Amino acid sequence: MTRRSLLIAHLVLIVGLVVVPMAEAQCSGINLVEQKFPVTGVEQTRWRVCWLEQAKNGLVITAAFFRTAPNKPWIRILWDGRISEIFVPYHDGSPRYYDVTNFTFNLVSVSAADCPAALGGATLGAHVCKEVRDRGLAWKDYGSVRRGQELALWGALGAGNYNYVMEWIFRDDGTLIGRVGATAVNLPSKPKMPHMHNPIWRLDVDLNGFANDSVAFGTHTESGANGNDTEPTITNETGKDWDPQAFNSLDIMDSNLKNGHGEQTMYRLMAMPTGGFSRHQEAFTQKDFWVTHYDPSEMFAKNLPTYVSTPQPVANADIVVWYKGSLHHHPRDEDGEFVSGGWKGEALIMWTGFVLMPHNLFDRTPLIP
Amino acid sequence: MISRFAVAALTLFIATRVLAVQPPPSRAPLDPLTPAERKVAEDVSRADSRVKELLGAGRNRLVYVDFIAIKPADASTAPDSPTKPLPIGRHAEVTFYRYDDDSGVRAIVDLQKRAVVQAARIESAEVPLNAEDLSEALALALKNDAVVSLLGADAKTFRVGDGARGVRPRNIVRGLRVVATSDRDPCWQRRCVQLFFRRGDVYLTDSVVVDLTQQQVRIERGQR
Repeated sequence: MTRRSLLIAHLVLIVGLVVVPMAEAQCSGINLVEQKFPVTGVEQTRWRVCWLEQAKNGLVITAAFFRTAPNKPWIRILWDGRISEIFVPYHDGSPRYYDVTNFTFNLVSVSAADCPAALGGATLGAHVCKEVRDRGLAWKDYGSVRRGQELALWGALGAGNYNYVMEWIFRDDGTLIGRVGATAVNLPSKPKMPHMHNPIWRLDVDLNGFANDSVAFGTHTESGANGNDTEPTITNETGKDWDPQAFNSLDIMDSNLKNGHGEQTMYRLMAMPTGGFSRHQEAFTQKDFWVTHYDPSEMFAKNLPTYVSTPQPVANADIVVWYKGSLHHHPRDEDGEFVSGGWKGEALIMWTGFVLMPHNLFDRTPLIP
Repeated sequence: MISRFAVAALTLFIATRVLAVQPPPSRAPLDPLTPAERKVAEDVSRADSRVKELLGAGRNRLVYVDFIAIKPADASTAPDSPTKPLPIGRHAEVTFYRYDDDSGVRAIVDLQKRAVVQAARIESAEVPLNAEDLSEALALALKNDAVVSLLGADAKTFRVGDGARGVRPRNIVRGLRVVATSDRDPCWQRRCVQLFFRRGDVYLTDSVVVDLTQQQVRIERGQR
């Protein structure tokens, strides 16, 4: 290379770096996370995620897009995903905490000890950990096998004596998982009192954009030797029970989104329970799933019965789905001990959550050669 | 003949000049609020006549200012791609607490128009406590002789725990809001916080309930 061409190359590089604007994005800096899969080698799938740390709600996903292949269009999955509430009633009737909306709790600090680089971790600012990690087997067929990978974003809400780990997982096959893990210290004034932690997620799922979404209620029944699955569309705002024997799910679809075979694409919201589901005297705990029409002022899970009291249509609409998980915490000696007038110990983490699984999003099995 | 030094110097010069004429970086639609945007949101809402009316003349407190994304009015025609930002502007949610009637005010501020686009009264349960409430509660508690006696000689060394900073003093206090479920509860229709004291890695089982509305303090004995 001549010195003149070297100079020109430098100029082009500098002008290219500084003058040409970067592709516009809906978020930027550490709040934009883009991850291709597999992590190394030729791209097969990719997630593009925006996140925020908010007072009260902690780690909030403000956009999530997925691409099934480099030559395919991005598909919006989430407009907004957040833990709307964590309701914590104690078995003796009081207290009954609303750990998300009663206080402007913040995410606590994370360090390399929380988020080791050797395990695929990287801190995003002071309070959020990004992990890109192996997720175990994606599939196995005798001698052929594929291990899966996932992107996880998590932060821990410092809710007084408790910490709630809020984790959002974006898998290489398009699956999205939300989990809450309860840990830190039992209520110091009643460390042996059984209680529940009920996280309620508000998921503004906008498949393929805001409009034209519908939700079907998946139900399985058995009659004699035959099984039967039905998916009636939910026409108006309502709450639904989850029956483990019916494998109930909320199946979210966009009328214009079909895969290459013309099959209706869906995202199926499924429970990932830990032992069971609670029912308390508060009306909003009487259902496991809720479907509402989008309203930016409707953010409080405890108001869900009011939100659906005059049911709006939710077919071919801009919808929001809600899901309540439950953790039944029966204190044990592993949680801690009384020492000299105080309580010392840490409640080991317990998890509950949900899965949003794609259905007819791909045209064929992803992650195979 | 152009030396390597000259190439490097020219490159640096051009980069410096080009950078100098670049506009300041603008916020992407979903980026967090800047401190300046938070200040604008508070100022705009406090100056708004509707918010003033809702707040009344009594004592109030700013509880929080946070980002909120509002979907475009006509979502069906808006482009939706991660590389084509939606025209949603920038908005902030501002929440105040009214001490006189234990209620709150929620305002949505359009930061680009510097205007309140929505203001409404909200019930007490939707107004969270914040760190200032906790500091006020601790200060009240430490003026109470029974609390000082409970905590012992190092009572004045307790500080409000701030997990966000990652530095934990030995003696910290954490707080939870007391949610009264009946009118027999002394905290019924009042703003109360329960303080838990942690000395090193041991929490005291006895706690302190502070009624911020009535400025009262009482000790609650823990279960053993």
